[in-house]
Amino acid sequence: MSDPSSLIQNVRDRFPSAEVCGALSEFGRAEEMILVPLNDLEALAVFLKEDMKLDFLNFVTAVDWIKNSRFELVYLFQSIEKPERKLFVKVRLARDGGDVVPSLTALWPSADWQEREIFDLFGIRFGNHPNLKRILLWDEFEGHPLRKDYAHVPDGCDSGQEIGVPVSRAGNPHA
Amino acid sequence: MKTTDSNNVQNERVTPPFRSPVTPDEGELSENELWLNMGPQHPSTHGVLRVVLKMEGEIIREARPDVGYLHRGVEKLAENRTYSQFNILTDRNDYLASMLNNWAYCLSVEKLLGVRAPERAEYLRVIVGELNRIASHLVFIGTFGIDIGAFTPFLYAFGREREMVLDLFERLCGARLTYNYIRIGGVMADLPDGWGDQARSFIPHMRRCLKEYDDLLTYNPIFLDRTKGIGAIPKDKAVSYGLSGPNLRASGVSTDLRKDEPYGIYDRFQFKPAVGTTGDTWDRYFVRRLEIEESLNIVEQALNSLPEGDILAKGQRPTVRPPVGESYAQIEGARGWLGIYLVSDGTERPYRLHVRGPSFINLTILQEMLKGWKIADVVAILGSLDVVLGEVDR
Amino acid sequence: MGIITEKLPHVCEHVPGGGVFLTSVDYFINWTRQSSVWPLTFGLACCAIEMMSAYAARFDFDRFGVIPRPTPRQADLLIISGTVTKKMAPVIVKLHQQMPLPRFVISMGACSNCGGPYYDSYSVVKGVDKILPVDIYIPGCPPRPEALMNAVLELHKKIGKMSLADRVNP
Repeated sequence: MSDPSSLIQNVRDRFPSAEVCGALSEFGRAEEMILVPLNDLEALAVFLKEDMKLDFLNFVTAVDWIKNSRFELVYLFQSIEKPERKLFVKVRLARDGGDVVPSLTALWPSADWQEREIFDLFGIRFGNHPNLKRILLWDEFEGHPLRKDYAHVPDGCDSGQEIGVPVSRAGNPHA
Repeated sequence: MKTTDSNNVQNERVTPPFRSPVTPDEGELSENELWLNMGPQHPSTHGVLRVVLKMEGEIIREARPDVGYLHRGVEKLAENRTYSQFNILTDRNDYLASMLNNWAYCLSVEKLLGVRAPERAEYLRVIVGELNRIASHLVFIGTFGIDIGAFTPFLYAFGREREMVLDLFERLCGARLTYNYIRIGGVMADLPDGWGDQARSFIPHMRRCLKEYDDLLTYNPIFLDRTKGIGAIPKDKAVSYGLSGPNLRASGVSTDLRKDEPYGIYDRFQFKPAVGTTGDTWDRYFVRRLEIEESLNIVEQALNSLPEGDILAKGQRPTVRPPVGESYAQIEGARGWLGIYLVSDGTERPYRLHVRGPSFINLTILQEMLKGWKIADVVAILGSLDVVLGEVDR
Repeated sequence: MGIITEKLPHVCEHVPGGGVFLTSVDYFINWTRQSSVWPLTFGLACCAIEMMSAYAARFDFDRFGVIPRPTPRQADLLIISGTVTKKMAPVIVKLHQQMPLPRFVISMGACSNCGGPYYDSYSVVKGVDKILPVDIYIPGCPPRPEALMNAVLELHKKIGKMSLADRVNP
């Protein structure tokens, strides 16, 4: 059994640009996460899968940090034989949509639907994704609901209490 | 109860502002092929899953699952609910195993708060969690039987044994399906008088019934013909597609979070994770059937060693305001690894909540698995994955 | 059957004693209808599990002549058992239109009554009555199988009051 700090050390030796950023609360014990630049994500994923034997992509999700005008993607890589060997990896990208995230679908097919879900609900684009379409919502849906500035356009099926920035302020939600 | 008159009103109501499901273009088909829509209304899709199949005669050439027909936007709603209010929505994610959903969510909030549930509450969580796992697997056995064409197991597993578990839950918290029993920092209520004895008497009954299911379904030649060797998932594929829980163990990977990364007090119990060999449809069925037995063992041990004490952490109040931070808790749900990722910004509402729904990730493999099988095998393969659409679409 | 139900009221109007005859026909037709309310095998979410419980051994819905049919063309009751999302709404409207007349709709549970716990969601239809005419609303989240049975018994009463004379063709 190898402890998580040596895992992080291995990653930092290989990727000097990776830095420890924050920690997950674990009943007093903290579980460190690392932040890598967007360009290193694909190489890091290959490194984790091939060399570090973290063969299980547990989940991928995104967080909208609107005040810092960026999105953060959170990946959890884990070893299926030894689940306590795991690594949380974060990637930051600009909120304006200029950045394209490399898709991990070729390495882990389990990323396929999760990346589509992130595209659907956040509008984050993934390069090299085989089928980047909306998955949960229908194609004509306007906007990306999990963004903090999502403006809800009411229709005949709504009650008027929907969460979302009122449409009249949609152009400038912080006004 | 309100009654109105529907046959005397014109049928034209609000026209939905959205399009009906679209069948893919015929241009993608070669000669002898056709598109076949299965769902969203289909008795065997266990809810509102839609699968578009490219058929050549009876053989499936391509499958395109279409999910989202039950997408209720839970992750967005979490940002508008307080931490305690959101607990009731976790019930409705995987509505066959509400207790386990409560548990994963509360564990995540507790990690943020740094609060630990008292000893007795941990035991109660294990007892109700395992009973709920049994109830969920009983639904699987019943509905899987119907998918294959055996109706009787449904009446036994779903209508008899599962109702006994629900009776226990009803006495405990008043609800049959959506319990909201496990709360942040503990559980909602202590056991009523005589509950322990009622639960103890259920255990031998359930063990007897498992033998009955074996005679009725497990080793039934027709059932074996329909499931043995169908839809096998090799080990490496199962891992790369992110399968977890019984579906993964059926493929021969023994990982069980209760054993390998124990949360709560699972390190105190003796049990053996059920593991399959080939990962075919029958194995996925049989792993769940074995898991019921293991869960019964755990419930028995927990009932016998249940300590006295508080059921809620001292000073725990319904309104919680965790410090700024993030947490991730995952448990072995009835369908796989159920995780809740929480980001707190120090207010009484979560800044971001993500549900790692095992059903959603388990279903990713469907498009790959169905290729080459016959149309009649679709219901067997889909049924054996045991997805709950509430968790797939969230 | 269609010819009888459509033409009979017009014929009876002009015949002495026709009204009495029509009442007897009504009684017979309503009795057959309410003794075999066949719902569509159609589940949406959590309430569908309670609906299945109602069909299963303990609650035994068959006692009331309620036997689920897998195709809308054989069904005369649509139980909306769960959250109706906007993606699902066109499908439900289509299913309803495929059912033969007279058809009935039971809205089961808080979600299909008014959105329930998802009242502020961006993707949920806030009440199935925004897209379909509804006969009976059952409160609860989810309602117990007994509540569903009560709804069907209420539906029996309602069918018992139907008459060929005031039938309106949609």
